[in-house]
Amino acid sequence: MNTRHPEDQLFQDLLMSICGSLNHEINNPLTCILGNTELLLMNPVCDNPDVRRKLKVIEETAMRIQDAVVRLANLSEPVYARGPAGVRLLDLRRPCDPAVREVGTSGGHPMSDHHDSSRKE
Amino acid sequence: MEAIKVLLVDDEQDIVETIKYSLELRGFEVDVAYDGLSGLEKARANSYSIMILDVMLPGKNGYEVSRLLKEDMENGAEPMGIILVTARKLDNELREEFVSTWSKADACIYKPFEMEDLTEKMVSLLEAVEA
Repeated sequence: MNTRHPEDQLFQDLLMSICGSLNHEINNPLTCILGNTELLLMNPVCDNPDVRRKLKVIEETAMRIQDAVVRLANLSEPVYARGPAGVRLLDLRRPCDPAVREVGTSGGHPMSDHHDSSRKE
Repeated sequence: MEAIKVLLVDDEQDIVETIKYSLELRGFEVDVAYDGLSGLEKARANSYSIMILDVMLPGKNGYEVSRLLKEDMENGAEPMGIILVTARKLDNELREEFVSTWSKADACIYKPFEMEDLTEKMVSLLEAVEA
């Protein structure tokens, strides 16, 4: 039985919809960044070790963004962590298992407390 | 040896240029289209071994284009492997099921991908089509 507060459900639907849109909007440009970096790494013009190192940094950074986007896409339920100045942030490093949800009830989240996943049950 | 002909359909010009150039470097002959309908028309009017088809396209989406072309093939059109490309990675299992059932596409790859992964899928698809 779904015991979730209607506002929680609304917020989660909105969050999932934002995650889906972000996924699309980020992955398309990432395809270009990674594809062109790969092309430059294959190009003898970029054989200079310093240039290659910088291209590798671009590639690895793009992969990190990709990883975050995948985590965002697989977010089945918001998991919060406490960020700087007590602001609650979505924690993308944790598995989205309700059993490991971080309690982050205090501090300037822009939404009301109804949206605190740690309070749902 | 004759180059393998590929039809690449995506509405983002930068992506088309990047993938086209990468595939040409690997010896493929690449034709392009920028929307679902012109992709469908090109695929019907020409002979390609593989189609790389974005899902979110203006006109007709990739699922529809794939289904229509696969139905053509069931009615005797020349076989062609179809790889769907999508940027959204939500509901993976559902999507995989949808790809293999409703859209009838042969494979699916998620953006961003490494060209190596795409070419591996293309090669295994070519082997399957030829078998």
